[in-house]
Amino acid sequence: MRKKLHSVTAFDVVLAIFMALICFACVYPMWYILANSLAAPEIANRGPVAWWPKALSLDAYKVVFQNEYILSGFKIAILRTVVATFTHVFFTSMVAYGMSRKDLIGKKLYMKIAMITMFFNGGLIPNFILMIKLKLYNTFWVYILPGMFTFYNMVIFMSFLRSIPESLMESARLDGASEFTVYWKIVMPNAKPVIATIGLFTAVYHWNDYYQGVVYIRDKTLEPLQTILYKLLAETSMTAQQQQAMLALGGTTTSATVKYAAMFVGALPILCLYPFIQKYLVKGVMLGAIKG
Amino acid sequence: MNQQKAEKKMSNSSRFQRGIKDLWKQRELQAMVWPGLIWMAVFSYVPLVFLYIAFTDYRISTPLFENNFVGLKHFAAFLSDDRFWRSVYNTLGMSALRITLGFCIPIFFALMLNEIKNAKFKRLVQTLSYMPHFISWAIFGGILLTWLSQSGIINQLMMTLGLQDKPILYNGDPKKFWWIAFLSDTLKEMGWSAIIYLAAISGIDPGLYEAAELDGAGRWSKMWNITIQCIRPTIALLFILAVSGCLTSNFDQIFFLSNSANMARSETIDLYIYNMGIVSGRFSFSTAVLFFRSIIAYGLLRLCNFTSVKLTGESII
Amino acid sequence: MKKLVSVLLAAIMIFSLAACAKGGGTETTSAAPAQTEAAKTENTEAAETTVSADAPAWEKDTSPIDMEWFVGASWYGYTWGDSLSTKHITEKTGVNINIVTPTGDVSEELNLMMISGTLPDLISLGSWETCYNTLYEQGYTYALNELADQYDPYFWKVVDGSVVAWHTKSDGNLYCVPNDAYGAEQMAETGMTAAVQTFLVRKDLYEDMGSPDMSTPEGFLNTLRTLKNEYATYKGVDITPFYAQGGSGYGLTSYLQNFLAVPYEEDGKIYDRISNPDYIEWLKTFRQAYQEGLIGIDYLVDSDDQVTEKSNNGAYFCMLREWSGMQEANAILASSENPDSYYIAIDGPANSNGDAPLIFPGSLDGWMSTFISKDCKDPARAIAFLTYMLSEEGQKDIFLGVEGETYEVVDGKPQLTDEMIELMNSDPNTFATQYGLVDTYWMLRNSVIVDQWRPASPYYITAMSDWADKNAFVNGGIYNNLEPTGDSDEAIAATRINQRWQEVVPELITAASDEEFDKILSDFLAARDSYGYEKVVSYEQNLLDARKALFQ
Repeated sequence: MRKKLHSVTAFDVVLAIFMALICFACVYPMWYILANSLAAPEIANRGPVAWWPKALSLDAYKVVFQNEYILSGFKIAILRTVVATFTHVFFTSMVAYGMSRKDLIGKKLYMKIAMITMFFNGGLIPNFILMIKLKLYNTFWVYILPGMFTFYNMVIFMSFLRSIPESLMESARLDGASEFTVYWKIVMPNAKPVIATIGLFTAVYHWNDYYQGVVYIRDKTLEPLQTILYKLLAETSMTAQQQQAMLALGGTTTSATVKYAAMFVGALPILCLYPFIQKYLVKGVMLGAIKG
Repeated sequence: MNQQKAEKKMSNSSRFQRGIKDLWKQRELQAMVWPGLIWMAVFSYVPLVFLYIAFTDYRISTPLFENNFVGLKHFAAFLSDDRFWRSVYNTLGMSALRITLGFCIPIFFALMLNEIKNAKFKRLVQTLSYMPHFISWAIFGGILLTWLSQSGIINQLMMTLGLQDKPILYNGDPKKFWWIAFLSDTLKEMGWSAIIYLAAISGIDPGLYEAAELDGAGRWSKMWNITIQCIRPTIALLFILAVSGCLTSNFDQIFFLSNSANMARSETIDLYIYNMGIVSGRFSFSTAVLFFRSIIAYGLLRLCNFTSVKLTGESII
Repeated sequence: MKKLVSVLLAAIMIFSLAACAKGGGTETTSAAPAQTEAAKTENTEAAETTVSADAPAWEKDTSPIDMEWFVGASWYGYTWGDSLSTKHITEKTGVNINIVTPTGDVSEELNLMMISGTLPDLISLGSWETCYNTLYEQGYTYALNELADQYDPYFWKVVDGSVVAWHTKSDGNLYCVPNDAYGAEQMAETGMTAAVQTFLVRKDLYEDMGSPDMSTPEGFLNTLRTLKNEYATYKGVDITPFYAQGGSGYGLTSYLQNFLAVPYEEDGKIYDRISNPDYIEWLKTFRQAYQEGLIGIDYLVDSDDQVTEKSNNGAYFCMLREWSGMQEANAILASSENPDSYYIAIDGPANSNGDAPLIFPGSLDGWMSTFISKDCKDPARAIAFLTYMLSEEGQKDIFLGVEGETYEVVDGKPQLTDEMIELMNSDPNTFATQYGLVDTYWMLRNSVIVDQWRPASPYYITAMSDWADKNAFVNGGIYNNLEPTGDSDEAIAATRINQRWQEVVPELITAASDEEFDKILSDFLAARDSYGYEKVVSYEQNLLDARKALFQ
């Protein structure tokens, strides 16, 4: 007990205060969105509130959940995020493992080929034509296959894989394990922090992406949640010029609250994911494997 | 002479044979890499054919190779446009902040996070710090503009603290734009960018710390000699990737924060492409600018890697 | 071995894929028109026997058919078939519509549809979209005149001659029909215009100040000085003195020029409106006001949300703003604790002669135009449907609904029932989704016809709109959209000049002195020449001459 008290230094106190300030700065935007999404129309009409609205209303959430595609949107978004994350992590890490091997013949050439993919792309039109030719247009797989690999994540994998002791793999090979077995049984379990990291990046990317759904999907039941929310957002943000349409009808609902509600509905599920992944980032997972 | 030639020939063919043999020997390894190469060929290289339109006057209804070939016309158009060079300047200016200060902040944050002893507090800070990442720029930009306005909380805060005596229209001043873009991006992405360093730190063998403690190393010494040294490869890698991205800006961010009053310092290359190309439906022109930028960025990455090889004898990528 | 073989196989596959992707653009685009060509000839035989100019073609074929209608507005949220009006129309004509709207950029999505040959049957979009020209220039849409002649000559009876003349392209074909097209004669006749440009002030505040004159630079500055000294906060609201819609590109450019009656042409030649002395004097007035701290440049910086917030709180004192965008704010203000805090239109900035303003009245360009795409499965039904929608009957069905149910005829004049008007005012959203009347489906709205049925506006709207109608420059429609668009050299020059000007205006207003102002302006004029201003002017001159020729 005494020892513990003793170990709290001035630095710890400063650190705690500093971190608390950062937390506040990071939480406040989300809080702001939540508070304003709940504001009653007569309050929201007069502009955003800084802390908490005096009168509450769930109207904005009603608008969001009344959308007929919201459920299929959730389903597609979850399915897409799960499938895409697993395929991406598996595929990219496998290629990265192969590429990280010093004895790989053609390594330099392969790396050059891969590097170009990060910098050059043909743009929207050829990709669109390609998706049609590959029969991926307007199918679920358009979310998965084109996103299976990125050079960026591959090099991050490679840099982490380098820190795995060569001896571990060598001994497995001596036991007659195939390359794939080494990768699957030795490398992957030892790379949990980077797998968790890349997995998180990929999952969040896929959850947040609305653009693929805009461009490559025409069937509304195949649109992910974010595409549907994005559309909703566009519908509620009518600018003055566009109100020409509504000469007599005036504006629709108070658009700002719906915008914030959509944002919150879209972000909440993925926000909950992080604590589960976090444990792989905090603990030193490498340890057990090396000592054992 | 002849014998030598024959020997050489022999060795050539045998080298080829040996190459095949070696390749066959590591067929399992090659089979793990090749799916990646095939993927790249299909999804990355095939669409690259379309870059040809940068050298033509592309029309949507005309087949790709039947469009008028115009050579470097579009390249000349933007290279001779001083507005293009202004956008290069702005992009580089914002990137300079991002690559120097902006690059160090997440590392610093990760290191500090690692110093928190209370595990629960540490988790809490970490979980909360990445929240803003999930707010899209369309929304975050809007909120930010409210905060930056004359009656917004930033002016109120500055006036309460006595740092300024009257409200300032922050977003109307070109001189402040780079900082607004940089600080808002830092707030939004700091916690998120730190995750990768946390992953690297978590991979460090705790035995190293224990050994250092036995040697009587203090907190700072451990941080400097063990933590930073161990995550150095990650830092180097991410730094090189950041440098190679220095001609790119966050389009959404710039798009939502820029206006006619700060355009002189807010128009980046991405926004230039949008304003001068996409708005007018100029496919060829936009592609030409993008193509040009890709070449420069690729060159930068190669240069960085080359420098690293020369200096440390090690290729980072 | 197996692995290697499969790898090789995959590699071969890629190359074949690469080959077909290269030809991709060709196949898809050329396939589409060919297909529809076939469909066209097929339909010809069936249709030709019954073609007649006396009766609309839609009456002859009311079998059920599905059509896709692209509405080029990402904010458009209404669907077809759930509301009373659309249900009624589908029952009557057999045409069931699926309304598609873009999620993001209109042109981007239409471009991809063109490439993949999946354009919707009907397409409505604004002429400001970059793919507007592509649609007809590159052969993605039918010439409506040909379709009408072939399948439904009644079309010519429902479209206005001047609209047809205005929208016929240089190849002699009519590709689209506009909504909200206003001709000069008709505006002069009815007094109803599409004019929305107004100078608005907050009523109670302005009247408390003694309704000062703001039409001269001195009057304007003095009023703002009084405002700053005595009314910086008014009834608990921090007052923002001034707002200009569209910032530097619109509010302080063509909008202000219209108020100052800056002419569009002089002796038949395109006039350089920016160099007009009155206009420059007023810009200097704004500079002066900025220097004295009477106005800011917040209107160049604020986001839409912030502008809405300030408007809804009555925080602006005066505005160069289209009244159509102020309807919601005025409704909120009129029902607030300060019922007199809504905005009214008054005489705004005027030139040194005190000339009447040249308020843009609306034009034959209309707002959005509707095309029939070549991917349309049944162009005969499409043109028949278009004809129906454009006819008085169709306009009545979509604007007023069903007689006896949603409207009744009083003194020979159809008008919405009181319940409908009540619902429209109290709950516009339910009104639109359940009944879908009035302006819900505006894609083919013919203002000339529907304006006579339009219910009267409340006082806080007419306080703005009456001024605009009264001051509309009814012959001004001819000058609308003279600027080149698209990716031609002139259009690029015009874009560069406009975008540069938008940056220059804030510099002018924030300039430290009149000398600095002059320097910035002359620098701009020099830059403008180097961007190709001459090309733009000669393009506009040709277009204007052509338009004039049309009406002689």
